[in-house]
Amino acid sequence: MFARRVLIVEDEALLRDLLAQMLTAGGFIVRTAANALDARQVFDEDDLDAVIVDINLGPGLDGYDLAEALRRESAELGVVFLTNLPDPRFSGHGEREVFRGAAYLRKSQLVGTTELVDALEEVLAGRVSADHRHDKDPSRPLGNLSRMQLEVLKLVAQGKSNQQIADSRGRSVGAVESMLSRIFAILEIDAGADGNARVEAARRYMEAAGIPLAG
Amino acid sequence: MAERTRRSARPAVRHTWNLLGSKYSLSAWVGLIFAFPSLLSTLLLIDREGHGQWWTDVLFCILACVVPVAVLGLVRLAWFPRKSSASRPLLMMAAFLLAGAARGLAIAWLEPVFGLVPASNPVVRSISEILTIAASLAIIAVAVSARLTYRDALTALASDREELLQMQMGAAEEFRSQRDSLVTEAQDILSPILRSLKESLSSAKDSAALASISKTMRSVVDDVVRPLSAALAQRSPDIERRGRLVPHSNARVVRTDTRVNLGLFILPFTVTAFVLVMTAGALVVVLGFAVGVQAVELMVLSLFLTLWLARLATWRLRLSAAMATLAYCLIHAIAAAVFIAVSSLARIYIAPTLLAGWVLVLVGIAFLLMRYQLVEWVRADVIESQAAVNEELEIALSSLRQQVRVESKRVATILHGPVQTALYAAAIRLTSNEVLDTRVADEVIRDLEAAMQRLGSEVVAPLPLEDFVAAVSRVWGDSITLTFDHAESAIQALANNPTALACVTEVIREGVNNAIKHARATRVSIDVFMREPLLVEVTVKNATTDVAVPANPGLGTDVLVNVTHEWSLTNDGETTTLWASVALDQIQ
Repeated sequence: MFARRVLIVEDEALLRDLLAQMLTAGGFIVRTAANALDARQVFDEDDLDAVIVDINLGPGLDGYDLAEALRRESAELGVVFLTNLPDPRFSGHGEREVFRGAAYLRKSQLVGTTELVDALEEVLAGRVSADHRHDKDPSRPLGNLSRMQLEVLKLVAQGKSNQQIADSRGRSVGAVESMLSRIFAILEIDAGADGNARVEAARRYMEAAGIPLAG
Repeated sequence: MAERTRRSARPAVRHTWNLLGSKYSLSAWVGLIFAFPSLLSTLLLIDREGHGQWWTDVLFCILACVVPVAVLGLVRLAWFPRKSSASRPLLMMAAFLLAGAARGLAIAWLEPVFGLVPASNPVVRSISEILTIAASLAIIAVAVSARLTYRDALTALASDREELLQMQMGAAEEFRSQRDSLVTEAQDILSPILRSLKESLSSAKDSAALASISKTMRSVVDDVVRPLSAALAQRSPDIERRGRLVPHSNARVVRTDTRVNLGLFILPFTVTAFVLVMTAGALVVVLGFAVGVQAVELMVLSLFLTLWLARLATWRLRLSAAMATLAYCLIHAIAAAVFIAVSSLARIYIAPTLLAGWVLVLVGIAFLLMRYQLVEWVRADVIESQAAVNEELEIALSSLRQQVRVESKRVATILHGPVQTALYAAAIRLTSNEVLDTRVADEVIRDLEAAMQRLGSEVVAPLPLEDFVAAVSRVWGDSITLTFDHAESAIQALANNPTALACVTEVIREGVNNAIKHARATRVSIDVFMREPLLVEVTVKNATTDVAVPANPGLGTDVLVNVTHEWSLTNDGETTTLWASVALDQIQ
């Protein structure tokens, strides 16, 4: 059996080298890159089977852009997103989706190489199971909020008033209030309690997503 | 940022109203308003024949002045307690009109008593005095209020400028110290945790212990790093206010070397109307109804025509403010002389003192009117400057918003970068070992320490714009053909403004993503130019009829809102254009 050729794109050298060692030991031929431009260079030079890509790659293009660009030229290329983000909706770049056939693994959920190798095997086979789509995990933080509700919650976490949220989304203040009530209900935040429900909701968002970057 | 004061649409009216309403209007204004008609009356009387001694004339004038002042004094005592500074404009307006009526009645009563006229009509006299007082009051109040309005505009201008300076000077320091405190705080919190992990590593005996440590390392990220990031993110820059730049109270409103077009300030209709209101009554009383009306007609015609011709003749004549005021008064004096000449030709006899008084009234009105107009003219100039400052302020605000966005991203990079990665890497490495190898333990500890040291290091600077565009072109490869047109000045400005550069790259990335993913474009052009002096304009165009405008405002557009001063996404049927202007860093 031929060894599969995998590219690891990760801006943190420590993790990049560690993953490379582990996958090499697992029988893969591994190339590494620290950013999108280097990754493209490797892609052009090598006949890759799969790419493991971090989403945040520092200055320049991010992992989504890179994966999208590479997949346009090689539809068979297996893609595994390996990221700190519990959910691509927290990426800070508006609407981003993990395309069909790609795996999405959270670094915090990665116990060893087994799960990563399994994910690679699945993307190479073109069948990704729910186990390797952490972005669809119902237990992920704020996983039970819809995309729209998450957007509104992000604006709350950014300190926006209901009026500002309504203006920015082209909705009425009443509609925003109604959506916030539903968000509080889903997050099981008591809107009538002494504590400020809005503050609690913002705290939950920031705990899940970190700093609420706009976009 | 302090909320800027809302300005009334008609500030001069507001000031006039407030001035009239003040109790001080009863002291400072009374002399001016009533002394002028009294002086006029004296001039009028002294040369008249067939009445008493000169001292009766003077006594008459004093009484004519004292009566209205007494009325106003009584109003002040009755309705304005000593320490009250409440504004009662309606009451004061009524009081002034009442004082005018009282003066008219007093004059109507005194004239026959002193033998000035055989009989006087109290109604005509009262109406005439009320009109005189009202006109005097209005013109003086408007002139004074113009000055105050100008001061308001100047103060607002200084306030806006000061706010701009504060933003420029304070924010940079604030961001720097915020980042320093963030790093210190993160180190303070994480150091003991990592120390504890090292101790655990030293004492770990079996795979279960290693798994436990590995789990702890993962939980540090969720339990410590993310909440720390959340807590720090809630701190917004608090810019301390420095002193306020208030214009000196005695500063000249109109600089004498300011040059103006004289004709622009000559107002035939307004002046004629004022003079008509102020002197028609007196002319009719003194000359009798028939002759008085004829004199008034001649006055209106001669005054209006003379001033209108003067306006045409001096329309392009540019003079300094001082010279213009002098010429303005002279032109009005000439207009008065024309009336005198015309009335002589019409064989209307008007006493020389009355004529002298009339000329005085006209010149006085002219002086106040010119003064008022100059102040208004300068005020308009100040307002224009203020608009420019406000534009700068808006750009500075955009720059701050951009800075906040970029700084937030940097903070996220610091917290979610080396430490988090080191913890994950350590956890993975420990889980892979059945028993703890001393070498692995040492490596893990060394990696964690190195990550802690990197916490305080400077974040990676954004790529130079040309390199970034080259990277975009290279990464997207055959998917698109990218053309890049730019001004060297823009590239240079961005090289010196890392925040603006980061924002421009975000705009380009969004534009290219939009073009490729949503509009499925294959040819994209990027233009980057300067819009002097504080903005860089970015245009990303693609030839497609699909306008990739997000269905819901706020999805995807948030990025553009936060990294630009202004932006738009348009389609003309052939080309989709993302245009944005990005503020250059106000803070270095």
